Amino acid sequence: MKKRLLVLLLSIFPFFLTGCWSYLGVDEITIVTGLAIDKDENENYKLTFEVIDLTKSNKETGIAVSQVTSNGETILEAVRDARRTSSSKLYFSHTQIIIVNSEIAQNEGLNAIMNFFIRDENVRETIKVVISGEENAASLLNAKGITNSIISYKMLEIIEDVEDSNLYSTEVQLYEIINILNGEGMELILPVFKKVQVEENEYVSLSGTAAFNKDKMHSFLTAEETKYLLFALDKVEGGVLNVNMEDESNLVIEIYKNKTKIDYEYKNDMLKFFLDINMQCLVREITNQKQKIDGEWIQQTEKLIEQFLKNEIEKSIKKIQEEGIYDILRFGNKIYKTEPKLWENLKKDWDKKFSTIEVEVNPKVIIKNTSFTK
Amino acid sequence: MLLGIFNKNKFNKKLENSIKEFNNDLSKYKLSKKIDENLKLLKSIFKNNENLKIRKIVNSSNPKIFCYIVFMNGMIDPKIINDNIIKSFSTENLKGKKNIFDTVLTETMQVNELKKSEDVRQIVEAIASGDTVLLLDKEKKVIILNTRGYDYRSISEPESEKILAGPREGFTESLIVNISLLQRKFRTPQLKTKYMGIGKTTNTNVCVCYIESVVNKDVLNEVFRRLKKIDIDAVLDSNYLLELIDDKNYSPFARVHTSERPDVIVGKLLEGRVAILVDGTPVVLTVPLLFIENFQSPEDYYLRADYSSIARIIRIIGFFLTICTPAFYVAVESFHQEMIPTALFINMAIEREGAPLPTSLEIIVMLIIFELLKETGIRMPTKVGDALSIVGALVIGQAAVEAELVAAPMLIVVGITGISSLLVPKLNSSVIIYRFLILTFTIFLGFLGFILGLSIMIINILNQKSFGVSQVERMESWNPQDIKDQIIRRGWRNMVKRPGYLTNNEIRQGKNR
Repeated sequence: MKKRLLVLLLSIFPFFLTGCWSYLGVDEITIVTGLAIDKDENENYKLTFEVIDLTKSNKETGIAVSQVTSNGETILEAVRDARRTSSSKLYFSHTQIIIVNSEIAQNEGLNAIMNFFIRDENVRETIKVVISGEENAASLLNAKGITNSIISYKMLEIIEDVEDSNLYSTEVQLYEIINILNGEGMELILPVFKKVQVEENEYVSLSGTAAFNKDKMHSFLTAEETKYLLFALDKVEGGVLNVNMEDESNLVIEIYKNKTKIDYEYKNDMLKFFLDINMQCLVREITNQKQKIDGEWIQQTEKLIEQFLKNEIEKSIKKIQEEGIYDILRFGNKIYKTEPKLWENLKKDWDKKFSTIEVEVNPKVIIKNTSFTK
Repeated sequence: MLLGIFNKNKFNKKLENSIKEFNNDLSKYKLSKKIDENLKLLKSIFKNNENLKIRKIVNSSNPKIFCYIVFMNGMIDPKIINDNIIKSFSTENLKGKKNIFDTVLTETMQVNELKKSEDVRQIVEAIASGDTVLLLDKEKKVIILNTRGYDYRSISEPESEKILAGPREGFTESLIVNISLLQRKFRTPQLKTKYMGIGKTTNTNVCVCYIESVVNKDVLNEVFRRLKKIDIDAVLDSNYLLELIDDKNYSPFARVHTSERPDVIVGKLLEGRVAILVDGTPVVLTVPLLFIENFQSPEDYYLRADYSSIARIIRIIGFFLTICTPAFYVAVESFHQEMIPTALFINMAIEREGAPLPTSLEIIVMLIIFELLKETGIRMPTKVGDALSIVGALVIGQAAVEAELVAAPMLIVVGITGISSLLVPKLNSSVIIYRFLILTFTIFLGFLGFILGLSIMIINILNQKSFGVSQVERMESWNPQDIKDQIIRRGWRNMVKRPGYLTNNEIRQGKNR
């Protein structure tokens, strides 16, 4: 009898231990696809949610979206406040993007605003966080998406594609932000979105990255600068590279494979970093082709590309060092991982030390294919 | 409560009395030497049955020698009675024969099967089943002659088990014909048949068939034990026996296999199973039933092995689909929306917009409507059935969605459920019960309930035994030969042995190469 009672009890317990047993009808929820965080005139948070408008969506017109805005002293308060206008519960499981106003990022930092999203059980940790290049983050949600009426999902598509198409920025997910902010010797960069005007329509467009010192934003980096910093971060998986030749013509290569090996040397209290870039590429476009393509040309061109990469990457790194941006290239993390003891010594004033580090870039380029058909 | 016990006792007493009355009725009678009394006795036993015919036949050589034949009209073949009994008896020269009874028994009667009897019970049984009883004067015994002959449906392909390849014959309602359909496949003395009568009022002929060399003796004894314990007034179909010999168990999964095809039954016999044939029905039972048999089709053995295996896998998928789809839909749609791909979820949400009922209620209503349609469709004549399916599809399908009474994804779910339920006709009843059970659990607990319900079903299946043989062989007892005809059917060359859990005589074939 006792045994039976025990079995019965044990089999009933799981019901109370599980967190997901509440019935939630689809008609009781408002699907949030993305949200923008701004400040209102009273210095409260102003959240703008892009939600699916189920009443206006149908087979003929496709999916329609609408916006819900709310205010609150904290993020949660603002989320709850939204129920005043949207009667049903805001549902974050299908939310894909958070747009943060650059002023909030600069003045308040990310820790304060991301806390709610990490704690909430419905928000995915793979949600993408971007910085608004516009003054008003919510204005990005008013733009028009090409081939996708949901602007948040359009932005998601652009970000997911960036690392192997044009290298203008990088993809950062919510959990990565937490890892980087709490990690050793690494700083955050986030993608930046702007609006572009084409005739009457406004579209969203990726305009580079925002560099962070700790959790506060420092400055914007342009798309071109970001591109070469990605080589240092070993985040390049593909994409095209426009190589400017001496005669002002262009050689466009497509990166087929890229691997950056980061190494360092610590001697006499001096740090020197080596970036060994191994790149395989295809020639895709030559704007001023004079010479016949043969082995000699390929060798020359490889050298040219190597020189070009070396210059550009070193230039970009120099620039961020001069501007006082902290270690977004994660050099400190490299030391932390290989020589933790050394890191303990360097850690203290790493942010300052980073700007004095000497970097040597050694690219090795192989042209695999010239796509040339006589 | 007390009243109930009292009534039960009273009922039991009544039952006992009626049984006693019935049994004593015949055993208390004895034949006498006087033919008139014997006739009177038979007449009184078959009182008020005008089908009973009695005819006097006089021998032409000596008018003092005569006999009576008694038979049941409609159950006999008149040609045998005319030519082989009446004609023989009247023309035979019986003058001066010392023992007329023996002469008639051995010489006069030109009937294939005959015997003498004194047992009134046996005589009555014989008359009732179409035999003719011949009574002679001054004899305390009678001759029973086989004159059975009545019309039965001819052999045709069973409607419920149509297949594309393989034999087209099916059982009929006649037990003798059915046995012959089995016997035809054996040109050896291996097939054994044991007859018994079951049913106090009908005394239906039941035959237990098995193959001596391969049958599992434990199962065979168990079958006889359970059959002998049956105490019922009538057996009109094999399902009566199926329920009466079944294990006492609330599980909805069958433990006895039924088929109308002789080839299927012989196949089962050859693996060591026992078949039970009942007079008056084409449905034959075999035990024990392994769970995988629900997914086996006779066609599996008449088509290429690889094709059969694919078909079998599809049937198994269909089984789980028809049980799980509604519950899975409810779990995902109402509890775990984060699981659905975003684009699909948005489309589902759009479709659901404006639907008046909550998903859980909607799905129950739709499933019940589907069962209604299915049930009416089965019982209808073909032409009405066609009209019905059009109305069903139009009314339930299009109109309901256009009027925004139900959401479109729901129709897809019910459609998948319905179509896949047709894949495993043998499991239809159990499928419905578990579909609603798992659905109910899911409506209250989401995926937790879904897994809970599914676990109950799987534990149920794994725990089941049919006549002492567990229906799903456990991992520890698996040997490679046993699983060659489970989810995947191997070619005949590979199935060297019979499944070890059905028989002790395992070797099926020698080297075929």
